[in-house]
Amino acid sequence: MGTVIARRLAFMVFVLWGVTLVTFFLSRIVPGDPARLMAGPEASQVQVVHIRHIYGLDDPLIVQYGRYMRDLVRGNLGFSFVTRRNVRTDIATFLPATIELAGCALVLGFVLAIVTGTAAAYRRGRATDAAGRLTAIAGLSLPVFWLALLLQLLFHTKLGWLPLGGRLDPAVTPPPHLTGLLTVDSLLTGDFATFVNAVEHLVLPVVVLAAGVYGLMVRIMRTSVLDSLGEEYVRTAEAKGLSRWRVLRRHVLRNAMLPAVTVLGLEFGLLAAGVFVVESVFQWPGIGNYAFQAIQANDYNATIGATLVIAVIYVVINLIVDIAYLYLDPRIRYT
Amino acid sequence: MMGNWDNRYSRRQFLRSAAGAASGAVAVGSAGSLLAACGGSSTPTSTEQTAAGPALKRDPQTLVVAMDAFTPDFDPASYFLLSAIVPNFGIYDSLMRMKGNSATETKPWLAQKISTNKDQSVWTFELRPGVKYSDGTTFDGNALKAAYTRTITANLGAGSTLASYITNPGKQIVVKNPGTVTMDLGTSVPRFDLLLASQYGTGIVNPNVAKQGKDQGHTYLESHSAGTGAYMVQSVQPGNKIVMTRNPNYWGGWSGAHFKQIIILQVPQSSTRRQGMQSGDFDIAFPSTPQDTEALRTAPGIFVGHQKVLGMNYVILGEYGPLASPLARQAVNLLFPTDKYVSAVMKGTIDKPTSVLPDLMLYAAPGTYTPAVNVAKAKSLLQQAGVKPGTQLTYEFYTGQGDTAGLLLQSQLSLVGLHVKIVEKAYSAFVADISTPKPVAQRPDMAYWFWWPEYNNPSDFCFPILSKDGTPVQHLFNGGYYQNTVVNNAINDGFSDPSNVNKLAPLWRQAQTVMGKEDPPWIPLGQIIDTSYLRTDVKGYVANPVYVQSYDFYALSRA
Repeated sequence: MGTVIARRLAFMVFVLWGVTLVTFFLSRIVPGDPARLMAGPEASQVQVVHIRHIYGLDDPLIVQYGRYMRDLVRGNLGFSFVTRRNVRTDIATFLPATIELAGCALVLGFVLAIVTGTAAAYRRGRATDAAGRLTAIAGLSLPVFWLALLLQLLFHTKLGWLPLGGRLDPAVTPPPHLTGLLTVDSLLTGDFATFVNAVEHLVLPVVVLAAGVYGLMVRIMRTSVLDSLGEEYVRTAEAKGLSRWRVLRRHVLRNAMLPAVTVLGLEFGLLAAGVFVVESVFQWPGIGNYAFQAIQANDYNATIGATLVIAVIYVVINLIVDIAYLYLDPRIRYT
Repeated sequence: MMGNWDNRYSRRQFLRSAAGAASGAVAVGSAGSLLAACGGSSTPTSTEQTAAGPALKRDPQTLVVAMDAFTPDFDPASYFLLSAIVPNFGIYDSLMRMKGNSATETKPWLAQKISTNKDQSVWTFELRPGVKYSDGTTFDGNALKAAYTRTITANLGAGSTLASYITNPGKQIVVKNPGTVTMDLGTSVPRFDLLLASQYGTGIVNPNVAKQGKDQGHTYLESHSAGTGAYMVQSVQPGNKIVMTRNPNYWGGWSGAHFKQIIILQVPQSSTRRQGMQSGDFDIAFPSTPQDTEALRTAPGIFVGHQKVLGMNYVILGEYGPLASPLARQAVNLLFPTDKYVSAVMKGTIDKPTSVLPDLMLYAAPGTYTPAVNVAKAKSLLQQAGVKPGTQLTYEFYTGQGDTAGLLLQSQLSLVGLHVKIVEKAYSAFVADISTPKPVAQRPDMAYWFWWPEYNNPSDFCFPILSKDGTPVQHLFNGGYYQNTVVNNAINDGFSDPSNVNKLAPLWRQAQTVMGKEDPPWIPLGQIIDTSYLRTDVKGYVANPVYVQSYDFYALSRA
């Protein structure tokens, strides 16, 4: 196990180096001058040149890349032209918001999908199955943007049950920064009112983001559970007189989970794409919103920083998935 | 001053959402007779009481403003984006401010009294006594000189508004005594007050910030404010919100009805801003799409602004390739259905253009541009220009703005056998395309754009977008490489000889006639209207044509 992890971590270094290389040069190839955007359209060329010099944008690309990599190794991700702060500070600010949102969505979507998919398989051809399949199709096919607006309209504007967006009400003071996860920080500091406020703000964006995860997972779980139910080891377990719950938990689910866990790693990519839209609609100050603004403004360092973070998360999640395989199916061995 | 354009020219405003701004307004009479006439709009520009709107379920003493984006920049030497102007308008004072909804009248602000010599080249300011910065530092003549010197010399983009006439602040700004300052502009500038009332680069920062770090406090001002204005920054969360609180030292005092706190939220999605207005989450919101604006006009408890401002939306026509001939550009103008575009597409969120200049601008000459579709005449003009049927033109726009204008052009130009290839670009790439030199083959023939000036001055408006010194070669925004001697003379004389009203008025009329009829640089799509959304229980709002989508927070209160 230790060797597998070490090898994957070493591989991750190469992947991330590749990400910096591609992102760095691609962002510079795209037309646009961040110095011009910072200085304003009517700034004289002298002023633009001055700003370009301040931020080292007038050096040859290879020199800029060398400087970037040197700083990166030291943990310095550079300066953001949009937020006017160090990118590392920005990521430390924005990433927890996205982790809180995406984490909740992933858990909600996955858990609901396991329950629904399993129930649909056990009650194949009945109303439960139809409902499961229908909700799965809805989750997969409803555009994130549309669903977000619809839920905002219904639960905020019409019913007034849930907030429109943001992580907290504007007038609410965030809890002290411990983890950056507002729900966790507010609980840790004993601020229950803020915790409730944070949870209320999480509901709509989490539901929207979870819909896609749920839709795909339900279909996989249903098929997987159906396959397992037809296996001889399940019949044998039932013949031995094991309770239905025990058969489900120890024999059906454990085997049926394998394909779902496989997809879970890939699902992160889908989730990352959804985060961009959801954060924008729900004014969620996360890494998706940050990256979107950075790309629009040719904010080089912020773009690379956000891409790196997403790449790291993607690689780490897939590593976790690989490790989960070992637990779920002891026959699997990585060479 | 001629020949020193680099110093003369400052930056100006541009913003992704600006073009989408607006609401229906009645065309206003012109500013015909120069300085005085360009007063305000004839339409109401403040919130009007309508039926009760959404209930307020939050602190009534807090004003919540929803913007599409903001940049944490509280340095008058550098901020220029509209998104930075909004908070800073409440933080920094200038010597003068625009009066009410007038485009031409100013009122003393930190200058209590203003006077000038006979030829209007030396201006004297008697400063308001008892003014303090938010940290308690006294504002006086020395502070003013230090602040403006910093803004002009920091070279961070915004200083060039003042640098139009003050290139050597050490010599040109003289502190006679702590309460009196003179500025020697070296040339006659009859409306220097308009420049001083600009929102760009004229905010008076606490000179003590220069001691904060090596960059004259620029980094410090990314998270702090240092003004004499009514509000100051309490906290900034980039990408999320700015919280502003009352400046306890504010010279205006706090005895009247004023908000205790201003919260500016970043709400990038226009649909969310609309819903937030309808649900009572926001007090003020930046305009959304024309459809949203149209819907909100009839929503109870919501006021939709309709003040025409000094800005234009237009389609740049390249003076190269198929549209090199003025006849070809006249033809394209004759094909664009402006009336339908303004009413059906933009839902009245822009106003029909009557000139290449916005009609509240000094020297505007309404009637010098009359949009009308005439396919037969367009066909004939294209034939004369040698543009053959089957020719392909490119139309470029940036994501979120200008797509419909492109589709309309594509459809209309097909009537005369021309093909239009529509190209969508990211904002930064689009800006690069119209402001950096490229070979003719790589330039778009037509491109969507918009513009407004830093202050009410047609030369300031036209120089970066229409002068021969404003082309992409100079990295400015005359993306069509437009060059016309009459227009160029008007721009130059407007700077070098601003006092000669008798000369400038006919010169600008002639320039507008040339651009509106004989040698069009653009298709003027419409005059920008400030369609900010406000709750009707927010009182004291007065829109000003120069202060686009800006709000005087101190003047606002809740009914």
